[in-house]
Amino acid sequence: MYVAGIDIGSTSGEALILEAERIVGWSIVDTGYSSRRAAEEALKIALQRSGVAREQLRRIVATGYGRVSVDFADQQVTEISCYARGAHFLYPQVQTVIDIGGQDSKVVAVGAGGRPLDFAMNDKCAAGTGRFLEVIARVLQLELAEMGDWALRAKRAAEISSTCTVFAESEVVTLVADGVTREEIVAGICRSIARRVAAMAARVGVEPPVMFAGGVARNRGVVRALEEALGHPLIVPEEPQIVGALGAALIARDGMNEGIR
Amino acid sequence: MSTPGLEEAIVGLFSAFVPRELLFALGCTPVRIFPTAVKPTAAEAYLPRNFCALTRNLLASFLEEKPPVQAVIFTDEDDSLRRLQDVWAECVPVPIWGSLEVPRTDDGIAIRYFAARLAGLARQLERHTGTTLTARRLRSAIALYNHQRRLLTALKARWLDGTLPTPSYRRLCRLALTEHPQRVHEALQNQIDALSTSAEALGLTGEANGSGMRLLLIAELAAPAALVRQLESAGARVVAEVSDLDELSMTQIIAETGETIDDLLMALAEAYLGKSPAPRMRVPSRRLEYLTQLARERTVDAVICAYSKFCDLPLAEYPLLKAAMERLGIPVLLLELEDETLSGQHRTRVEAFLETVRAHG
Amino acid sequence: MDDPRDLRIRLLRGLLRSPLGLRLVRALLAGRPQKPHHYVSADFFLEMARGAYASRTRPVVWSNIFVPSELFWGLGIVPFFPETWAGLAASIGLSALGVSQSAASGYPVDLCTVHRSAAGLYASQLFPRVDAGVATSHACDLAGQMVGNFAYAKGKPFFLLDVPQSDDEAAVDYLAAQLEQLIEHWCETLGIAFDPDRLREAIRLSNQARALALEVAALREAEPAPLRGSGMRDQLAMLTAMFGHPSGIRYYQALRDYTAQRVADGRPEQANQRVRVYWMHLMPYFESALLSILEDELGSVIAWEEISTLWWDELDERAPLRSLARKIVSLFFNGPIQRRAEMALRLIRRYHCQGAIHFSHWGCRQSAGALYVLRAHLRREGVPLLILDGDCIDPSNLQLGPLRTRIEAFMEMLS
Repeated sequence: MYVAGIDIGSTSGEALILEAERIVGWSIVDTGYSSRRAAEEALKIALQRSGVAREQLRRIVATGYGRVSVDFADQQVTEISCYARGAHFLYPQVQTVIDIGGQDSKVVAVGAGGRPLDFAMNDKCAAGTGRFLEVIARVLQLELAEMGDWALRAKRAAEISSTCTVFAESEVVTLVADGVTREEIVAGICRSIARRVAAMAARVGVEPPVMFAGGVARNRGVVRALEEALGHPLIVPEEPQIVGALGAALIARDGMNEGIR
Repeated sequence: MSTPGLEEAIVGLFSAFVPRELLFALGCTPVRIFPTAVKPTAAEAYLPRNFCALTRNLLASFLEEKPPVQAVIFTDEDDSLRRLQDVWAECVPVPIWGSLEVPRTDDGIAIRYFAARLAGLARQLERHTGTTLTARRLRSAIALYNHQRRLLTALKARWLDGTLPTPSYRRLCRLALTEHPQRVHEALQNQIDALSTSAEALGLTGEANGSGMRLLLIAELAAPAALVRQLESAGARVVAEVSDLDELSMTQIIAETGETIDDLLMALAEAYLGKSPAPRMRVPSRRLEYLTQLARERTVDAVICAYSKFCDLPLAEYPLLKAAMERLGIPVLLLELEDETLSGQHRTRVEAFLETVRAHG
Repeated sequence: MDDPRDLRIRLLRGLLRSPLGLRLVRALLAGRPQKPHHYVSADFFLEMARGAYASRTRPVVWSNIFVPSELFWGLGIVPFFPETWAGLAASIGLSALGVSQSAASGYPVDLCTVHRSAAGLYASQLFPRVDAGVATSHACDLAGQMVGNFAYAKGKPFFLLDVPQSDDEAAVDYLAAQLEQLIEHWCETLGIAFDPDRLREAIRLSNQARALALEVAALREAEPAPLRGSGMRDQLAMLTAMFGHPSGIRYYQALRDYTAQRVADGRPEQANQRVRVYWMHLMPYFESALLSILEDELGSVIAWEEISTLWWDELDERAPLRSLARKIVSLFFNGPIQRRAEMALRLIRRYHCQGAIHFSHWGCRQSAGALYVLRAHLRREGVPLLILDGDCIDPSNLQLGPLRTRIEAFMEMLS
């Protein structure tokens, strides 16, 4: 029996196919302009990779900010529940999940069985999100993917005082003009994101072990800065972006089991 | 003055309304807490991002830099301080030794109520310090701080006549708020002596009536040093600062003649409620009359309000203040600051403001 | 003058100032389907508006909402509450006007929109005349300061009731002495005569309304919840204006009968009731999908609202000023947040709520600054708290998308 989870975020969409306890395939696509198309596309690729036909899927759960657009899903669940469930599946001892995505970031306290106990999300501001990194990458003419390594090479982090993405952008321009190295600037930006997210996490209360998921978890500079800011080591799953889709698939499977019962 | 064998406890204050005399008489060294250069992000776990920037900075400085104080005293000065006190117990390991209600009016019943609350604060402090309040101790503490007032008044005269530069005067004011009074008095006295010898030797007279533009600064705790530097290097001269650093911390000389503790507490209550009004003392007319009179007395050309972003009381007073000053032909600039630093945008606004004032002057 | 908004302002101004205009509004309201208690409240507020806008005989005193209304009715004064009228303006879609006008009057844009909107309506001359201002210093710094500003700008006397944070006897004495001063001050400045019997009568009326309001509170314990929480968003206006006036009794009688009928018939206002929640702080005053998502779509019923809580003990007509003083200091927004948290926990248990939702009105420092402590207190008792950031006046500051995710996640967590 196969089920699918689809997580449509602001910048990327993921689909994951699950059979009982086994992940049989997954995919990551850009969200682009249409959440529904991204969902279709991600599911198609994940099915191809799994060698599973669409008809074999017994249940689909959609999550993420684009979940409402996924009209072919059987159920829509928020990413809060999905991240808690997915993280618990990967590391049953996890008590806190931090997700930094393209446009938002969240902290979830995970309870027994992967149930969310409490959560916090960022406000309208993009300062503690992947968007912040994107903007700065553009200013510094760096590839987003290589930013983490630049940060790790820095001997010290530049002080970024603006807490607003828009102002930080102009501040970075000034730092470049003042001759501060790109390494130091990137390290400063990572630290700025980490501090903002750590402050949000403190509202929920951070209990270790802590998992760091979402696209930004691939950035080793942010991982290190966040570990420093939280005072806890972070568990970063091999594929940090698919935790939400995994949680959605697990919730789909639970729904099947409940139906059978 | 402290009980033998007991170290004097350094006690942090967030308000200019707490009589330092009372703390000193109870074996404490009262120090005013100033924010540090720390970024307020750490405080965002406990207070929202659109909360008074000054309050967030104060909290962040305790979370990240741990100022050397053994305890703090709170007041219910405004919404920000009330909420800071609420979160304090949850996140800062520095104990609260007392909290003081400060009336927002200054009539007879308010003074009596404040005096009663001061007695309550004294009882709270007695428990923590093991020192008992006596009329004699309180009288000599009042005398000590009166001495400080006289020294500061003398220095202020030298600042106003131009012999003492603004940054030096502000440094001394800050010293008076943050150090043990006996050490402070030595420093203040030395400065006074140095000024009179050098003035005599050089035949200096003040430049109070010089040509520079004369500015009134209005702030909460203190206007940022960077702002004062920018203003003075642009040829303007700060001639009054209405903030806790200067005007709002100054009371009249307090009567030392009270026989009993109650008499002395009444004198303290009257002096502290009657000092130059902060925006919280909410009879708008009294505060605006005070500010406009000060502007006239010091023949001010322009006013700069350097307020913390999201700090409601001064910001909501601002439209009235601006209107009142403009009726006197005095232009006003408002800066909303996130912390002690000035951004490029702030600097440009200040510069442009000075240019327009000059152009119209 | 060609600005269509100006025309709207002028029309409104004319409507509010003429007794005929207010009668017209009443006739329009009568034509709309309303619940029985709504007729009483509409009548009451229209009557108050007529007193403030059109009457020349009684003094009009502007006030923040936490000055006890018994005082106004007991002294024959017409109160005018700028905050309440800012909420009312938002409910009829006029908040944008108030907020934009306030910026023109020089108020920084980061201030609370309730007070900015009031400042804008004031600047647009949509408020009635003012003979004096009065405010309490507790609960919210801005409310008192704005009344002070308005009175100052019009050259009218302003009286500040300095409210202590503590609620001990010394605090009550201090405040009672100020109330006495206030009455003297009004007798002098407004030329009114103080009649102790009339104040006692207001206290009696207030107590009667209080008893009825407590009956409503008891009826609302029922499961399913008889009333829809979103329909109670105006309760703070009732609690702060009607007590001491005969309308208070009529209003709570009507509300009591209506609620009792709903309970007896087993016919709750909200059909879909999966989860019971306690609502903290304000609600959007304007029509917003937020509450229908919460209530109808997701089946969360607001079993009780913090702002519907009648916070004071029965008043004593033999010691009216002391008991009004006690009423003021015992407000749940006064004093340390612990008080507010303890009240929340009591009500959460009483109304069998599974969770609490705090609507965090942008710019309200006193409530937003309390969130960390509230959350910690509730969590210690196993009650989850959802924080919704928004604005109860300005619809453009309430973003439905992110709020929906939070509400859905919260519901998933509770169920």
